[in-house]
Amino acid sequence: MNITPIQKKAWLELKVEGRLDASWAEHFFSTVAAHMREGRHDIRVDATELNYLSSAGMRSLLRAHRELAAVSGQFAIIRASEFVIRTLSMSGFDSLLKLDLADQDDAPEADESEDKGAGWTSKGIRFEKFAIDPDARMEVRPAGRWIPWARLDAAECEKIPLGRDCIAIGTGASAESFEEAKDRMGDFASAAGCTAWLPGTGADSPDYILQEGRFVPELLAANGLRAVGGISSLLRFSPAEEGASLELSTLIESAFAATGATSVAFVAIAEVDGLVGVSLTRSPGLIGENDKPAEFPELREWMSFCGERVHSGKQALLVGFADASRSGLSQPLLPALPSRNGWAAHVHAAVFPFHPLPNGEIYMSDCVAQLFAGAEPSALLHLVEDARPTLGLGASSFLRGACWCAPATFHSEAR
Amino acid sequence: MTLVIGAFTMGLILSLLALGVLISFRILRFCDITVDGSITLGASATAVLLVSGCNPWLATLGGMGAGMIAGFATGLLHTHFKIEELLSGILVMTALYSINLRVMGRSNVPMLNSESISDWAEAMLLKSNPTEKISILGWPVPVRDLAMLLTVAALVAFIGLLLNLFLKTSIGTAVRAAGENPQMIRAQGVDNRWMQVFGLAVSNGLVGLSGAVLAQYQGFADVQMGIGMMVWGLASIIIGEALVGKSTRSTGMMICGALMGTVLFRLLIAIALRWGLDPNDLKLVTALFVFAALVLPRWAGKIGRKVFGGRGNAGA
Amino acid sequence: MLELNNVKKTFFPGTPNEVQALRGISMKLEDGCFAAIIGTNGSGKSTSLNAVAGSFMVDSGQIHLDGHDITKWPEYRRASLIGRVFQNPFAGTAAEMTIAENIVLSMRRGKTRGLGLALNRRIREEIKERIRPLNMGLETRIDNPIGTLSGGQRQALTLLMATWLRPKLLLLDEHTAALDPKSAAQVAVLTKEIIEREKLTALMVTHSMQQAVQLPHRIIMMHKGQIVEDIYGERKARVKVADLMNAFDRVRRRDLFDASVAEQVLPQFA
Repeated sequence: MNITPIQKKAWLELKVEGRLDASWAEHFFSTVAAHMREGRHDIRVDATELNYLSSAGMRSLLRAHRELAAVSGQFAIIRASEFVIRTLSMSGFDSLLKLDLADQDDAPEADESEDKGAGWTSKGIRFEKFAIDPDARMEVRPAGRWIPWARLDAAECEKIPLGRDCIAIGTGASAESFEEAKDRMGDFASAAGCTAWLPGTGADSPDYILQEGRFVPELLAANGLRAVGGISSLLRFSPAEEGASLELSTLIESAFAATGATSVAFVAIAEVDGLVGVSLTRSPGLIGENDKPAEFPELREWMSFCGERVHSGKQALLVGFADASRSGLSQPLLPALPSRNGWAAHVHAAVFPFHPLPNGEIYMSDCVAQLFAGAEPSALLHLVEDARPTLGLGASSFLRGACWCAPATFHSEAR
Repeated sequence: MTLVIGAFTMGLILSLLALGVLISFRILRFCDITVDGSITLGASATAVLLVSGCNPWLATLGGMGAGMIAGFATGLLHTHFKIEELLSGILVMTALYSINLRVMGRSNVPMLNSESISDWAEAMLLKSNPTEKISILGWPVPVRDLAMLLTVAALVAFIGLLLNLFLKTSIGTAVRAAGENPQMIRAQGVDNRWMQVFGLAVSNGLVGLSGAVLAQYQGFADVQMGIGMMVWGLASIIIGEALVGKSTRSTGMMICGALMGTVLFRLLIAIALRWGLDPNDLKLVTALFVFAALVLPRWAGKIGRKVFGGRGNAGA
Repeated sequence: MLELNNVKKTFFPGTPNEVQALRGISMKLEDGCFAAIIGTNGSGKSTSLNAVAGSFMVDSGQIHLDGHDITKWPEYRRASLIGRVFQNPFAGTAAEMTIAENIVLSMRRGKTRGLGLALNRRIREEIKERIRPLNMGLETRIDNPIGTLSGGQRQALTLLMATWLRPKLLLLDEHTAALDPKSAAQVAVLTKEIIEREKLTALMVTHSMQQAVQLPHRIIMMHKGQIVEDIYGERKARVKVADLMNAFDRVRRRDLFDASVAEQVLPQFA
């Protein structure tokens, strides 16, 4: 079998020659998936030269159709031979697959900007901005009062609800009491009622709790930032040239630009180019009298470092807060961002298997829920920049995705 | 005919030496040069014992025992003092040169007047057939020569059988395994070093035995008689392997091969000498022969691989 | 029971090639426990096994087996308690000796060897009886040199030889690593069968995560001459290959986490 991609104005055509049977079905589907990853959400199969279609082949067509439908894309078979049409219609698949018999070619001409998105290109990255609610803001409050790396006191912890109305990051555990929580405190990230947290027990993968019906998950937080409010704008980004990627600080910069504010709260879902970060491997609740977690060799018992740029090709959910006004610097949980003078940021990333996002304007709560519904998170990192000369891993960077952001107001007291 | 009988007798005597080399070289995979000294040691010890009036069979056993001690020493040097195998052999061989002179008191001990196995054999044969000469295929043969040949043949057959049995005993199999795969035999709870020492003692015992019989056949022991004997034994083994097939690893076949190889080699040498080979060139010829036997198969293999496109070494 | 107490070994001490192969290994292996040692190259997994087998004498620490302090015992003496299978299928047998002769050698493991004939009809029948269940057709070939057999067959025989007399401890040093996949699987199954049937105490070095997850009761993970993970009981029951890979990853990341990283990371954490 041979698959030749031809880029048309409004869609991508895949010319399929030969037999689409069990031995080629997987290859066909992964080819479609690879094009979807690049943001091609209207894909049509030119079946002129397709001379055999088995049930396995049909299933792969159906899978491609479903995947594209999930991101509001299009999938169709065009110029099918009599045999293919007969096979598909007899199997009842003709209703699922659009059999565009007429060779309408580029008929529905490219209506390039279908929407209100305003675009620009910077450093090889194409940005599009969608205004959602110009008046929306986020009120950010601290949750818990633990200051690393002091011993953790029960009184410093605070139980916080993590419902659909808030976003939050920090250190905590899903537990009823401090006693239960203190040996499993770890990093967490929460958005739209979905919370991923990495128990500080040396666990390999994060646990997660979702808001379902009237159940609103709660977390006992040692420290953290929790924001309530609305999203003001959506940024879509994708590489405009080969090899370009978006660094975390550039993403934050774009969020500042999109909101017109110097303090932002944001949630992003993006394909990972490489993540650099740390995570707690031992609960701060276990810090004892004689422990010195902040000193080097011992630090390794409490925290793990990624060691290399990780999770390339995966999908990350970022929840973060950033500040360029210096007012936020008084916040203990907004440490300085080394690559940008005067900026401070705190970002957690939950890592998922890659799943494409629909193009255009999309909703944060839907996308986050879909991410958690699709597969389990495989990692959770507190993102850092590694600026060591020659050895440094640099900053986390991303390829394409969506970033929902809003101006943030930092309050120093809980309420 | 006398010449043929002489070659046979000599070949059989030296086949005991070949059996010794077979044990060290092929079974223990130990390049043991002690042989050159222990054959002389066996001869000189026997000669001195005989001159002092000892029973010829006891004297022969004495020669064998002396050889065993030499082998034991080499083994000990290698296994317990961690001296390279070749060097251990050279050290013992060198030391034996002086020891042999000490044993004999001079460089050559004739035993014209002492009773030897030859005399014993002649007496035995004369008892049953009291004539001076016996006719074989019409050739008259001195009784003494025939008696010696028969005795040596019986001795060699006995030793060969005994050795074959030994190699099949519990300890014999352990010695063989120690030579082939020391790691494996250690894992089976055997101290491979002692197996090596033991094997070398047996090997040099056989060499000493060969020396003891040789001295009695020749009628003298000489301090120079051991030079080149190890290579001689090696040549015999190689010829033997050509006769029975190199791949054969059955102990019986290996022993038969060594026996037949020595006799054949001795016959070839006798013929060559008859045709005018200078006896002084004998050792050179032997060395060249061993060289060729070691190198030619490798060349043949290479050429074979070239010709048969790399299948020459299949199964190796 | 096997017990290692703070066992240390440095190869080529005081030279540029100095290797701290074992940096204080302590473990207890209960009777009837089958443990696998996994680790990266040079982690000391094979070295630990060889320390127990006595291939070299350790620099410090003690090794106890079955109530004996075997720390100072030479290798051949320890063989009276230990059966071994090596990585190289040719290492455990003498190629030019017959199958029967090889096996009979192992029938006297750790016993005295005298001048009696090694093989007789009764012993030959016993050998045939015990190699028949291998289903390799070897019972009709017991007088063939063992070198004529395939690596898998030789390794199966080596395993049989190592367990012919019930050892107090069975050591398996990546014994399926040099075999083709089919033979490796056969030998792995045979290993499990024998160990379970004889309720043997066994220590296996492997680089196959799959094998480590499937075969033993316990997994010991080594890194740079130290034990970094010891997985047994309930945890062993639910461990998956991916978990072992993660554990390796953790160890590797920990190595990359040096003082310069700490300096970078700490101010960004809070």
